[in-house]
Amino acid sequence: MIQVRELRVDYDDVCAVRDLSLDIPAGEVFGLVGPNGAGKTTTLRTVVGLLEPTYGEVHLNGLDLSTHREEAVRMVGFMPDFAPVYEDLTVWEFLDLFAASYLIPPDQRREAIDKQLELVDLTEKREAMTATLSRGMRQRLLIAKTLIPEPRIVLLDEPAAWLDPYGRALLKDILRRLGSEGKTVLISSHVLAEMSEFCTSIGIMEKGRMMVSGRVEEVAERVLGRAEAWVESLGDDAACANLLEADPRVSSLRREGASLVFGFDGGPEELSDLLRDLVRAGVRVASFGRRKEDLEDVFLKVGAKEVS
Amino acid sequence: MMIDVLVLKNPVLVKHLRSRLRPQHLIPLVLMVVAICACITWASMAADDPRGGLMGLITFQGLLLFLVGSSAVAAAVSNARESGMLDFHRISPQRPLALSLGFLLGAPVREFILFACTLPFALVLAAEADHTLLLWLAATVDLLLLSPLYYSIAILAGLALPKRTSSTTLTLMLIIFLHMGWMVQAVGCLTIIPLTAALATDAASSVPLHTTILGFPAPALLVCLLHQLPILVFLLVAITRKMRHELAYPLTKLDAISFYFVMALLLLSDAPAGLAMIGPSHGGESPELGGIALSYGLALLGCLFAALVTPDAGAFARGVRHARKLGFSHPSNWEERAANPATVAVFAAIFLVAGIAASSLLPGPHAQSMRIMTGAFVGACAVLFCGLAKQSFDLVFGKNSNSYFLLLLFGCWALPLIIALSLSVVSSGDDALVTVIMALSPIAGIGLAIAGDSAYSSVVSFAAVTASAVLAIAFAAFAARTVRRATEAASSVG
Repeated sequence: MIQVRELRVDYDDVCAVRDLSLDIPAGEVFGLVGPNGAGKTTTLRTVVGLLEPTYGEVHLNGLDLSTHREEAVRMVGFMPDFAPVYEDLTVWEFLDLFAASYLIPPDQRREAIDKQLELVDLTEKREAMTATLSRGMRQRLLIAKTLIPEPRIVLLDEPAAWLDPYGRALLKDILRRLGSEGKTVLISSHVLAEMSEFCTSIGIMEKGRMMVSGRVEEVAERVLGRAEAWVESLGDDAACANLLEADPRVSSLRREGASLVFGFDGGPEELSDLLRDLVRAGVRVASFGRRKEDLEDVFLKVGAKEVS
Repeated sequence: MMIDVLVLKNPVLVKHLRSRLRPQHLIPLVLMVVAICACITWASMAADDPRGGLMGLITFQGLLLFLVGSSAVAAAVSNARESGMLDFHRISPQRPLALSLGFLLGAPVREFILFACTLPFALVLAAEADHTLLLWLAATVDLLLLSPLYYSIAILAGLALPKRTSSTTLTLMLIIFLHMGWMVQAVGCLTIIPLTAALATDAASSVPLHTTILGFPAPALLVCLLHQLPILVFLLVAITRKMRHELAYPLTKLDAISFYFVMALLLLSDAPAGLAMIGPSHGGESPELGGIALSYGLALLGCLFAALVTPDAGAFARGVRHARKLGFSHPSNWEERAANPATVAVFAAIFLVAGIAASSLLPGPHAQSMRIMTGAFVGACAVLFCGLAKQSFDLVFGKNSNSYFLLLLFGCWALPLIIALSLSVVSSGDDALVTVIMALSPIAGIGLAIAGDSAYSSVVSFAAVTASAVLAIAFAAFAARTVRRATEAASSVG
């Protein structure tokens, strides 16, 4: 888990991160969202120990970074927002370098390297020089490098920036697996649509401050208000509209194209009950669902303007 | 076990072994080196001058190890740092010392192989020439031991300077500069020249060259090692700190004080040797030259170290805020991000003590001892002024401080020399006025205070002492005020 307390980081006259506090439990995939210069990368680099804070505390799995830096960072896999590689090494030599750096015994390195190459689908490039890889492939190689020591905490800065759709799908699978394995993942990204797919929690930063953070649904509800759902029925939907209006949990009913959209004060089970009631009442439901929280709406509502 | 982790199983070293020893790159270079060495050997044997051939080969070896090797090291470190690869190493479980050794021994591995290819030819020539085998061995040992020293400088430059080209250029310039100043024993011991020059001149002797340290005779190789090892240790300390953290200062304030103290001891021990390391002038025939070398050396190093331990405005503010958070009004004087006055004062004190020690160590009349002490006082004031002015300007002018600081140094140190030079051209004959104006700058003032034996030397010394002391006192007051204001400003900003 990652715990950050009253973190402040200054660059000359600029305060890049101001009194940031954050708790990310194990198994959480936390997305750090914000405009350029919000302090996301600075936060990640401070959490991994590459930047020294002006003050504040960072604990990684209970270890204080300021006093137990070497033990703490040993648990961390970090991938920066660009993809540096040693261009004079082959793919396997590059991974072997970091397998050795993370003290993986020589007899286990080959297996560990092959496993990660398979995970990022670079097995065929095993003997290729890294200089010959495309930008997206380098990004995938770096994901493999990040995961080779089996870190308990994974920090990814803009991990999908140079990935093609196939690479993004791979990344999504990897992140899901990391979350399910109980690892703590902290991602920063501008690509808001993807963050809602990757992350279980988000935090929105602006000018070095954390504006809002929590589970994706909670943040969306806090910022945008109650959750919304929609129903599309075959034939005349007046009966459907009447039924919805009669339900005390439904509010703000309106028509959007062929659908009826409404605010719903309840969880997934209550929504499922509502669908059952509609069907029982004879409404021919063509489609029905809860609107996915749109991170971009949340982000814009919080006040950040510059989304790239 | 330690050697296993630091060297034999060092991943960064293995990385360089793989990338720099690929046969397609190495074999053509080996063939070229062998061809060059074969030509030198054949030509010198044919001309019946194996000693000359050996000198040529050692020069070639020096070029390979020192210049090409240092460039490779500086480039490897700069590239790793600029690309961000170094950050990956920094957050790996590898110790900073292991990373440093990985670059130190790994990046120049190709040059080591090429050097090894030259050794059989050098051995043949050394065996052919009369009485040169021991001298050649000493020179070869020195050549190999000097390489890590230069590579450490290259690594530090790669870690500290913003661009790859600047780190390579600075390293090469420094190596060349050292070789140009080899006549000063302290500098000569950091080059291969004293031992190779002996090969050319000491035809009748098979015994390695001797020199003096603290006035006592000692083998030249030993004296060279005594100079190289402490410097190498402090360089490794600095490299290890920078390897751990990008924004770390190369030396803590206490490290810098220790390093300065050791350098003062080395310069002091060399002072009796005067200037020439080789030749008949051993034994303090011109003690003032030893005093001048000591004072200029300590002044140069003092200013350099003062700049190294001076935090910029941002770092100073971070230090104050951190201290406030912990409940203190300001950081301890010896912390990295604390202002430098206390450290600079210690540098000046070491300088003065070294001056006093030199004046009693070097043979000569009382007046000469007084002159050496006066020169040391001028130098100590110059270090004090330089350090305090740097700190004050950094705090007052922020990012523009370097330009204003250079302007200040130009005004205080270079302008008197320019004015004196102009005056000497315009009004030829008034030597006293010209010399007094020159003495206002410590660049000339130190030397004039020590070496001046003219009728008006007391006036010159007075001018040099007064100018240096006034500047030091003025900037002590200015620094105290700026540090206080900067502390208040950093504390009040949220």
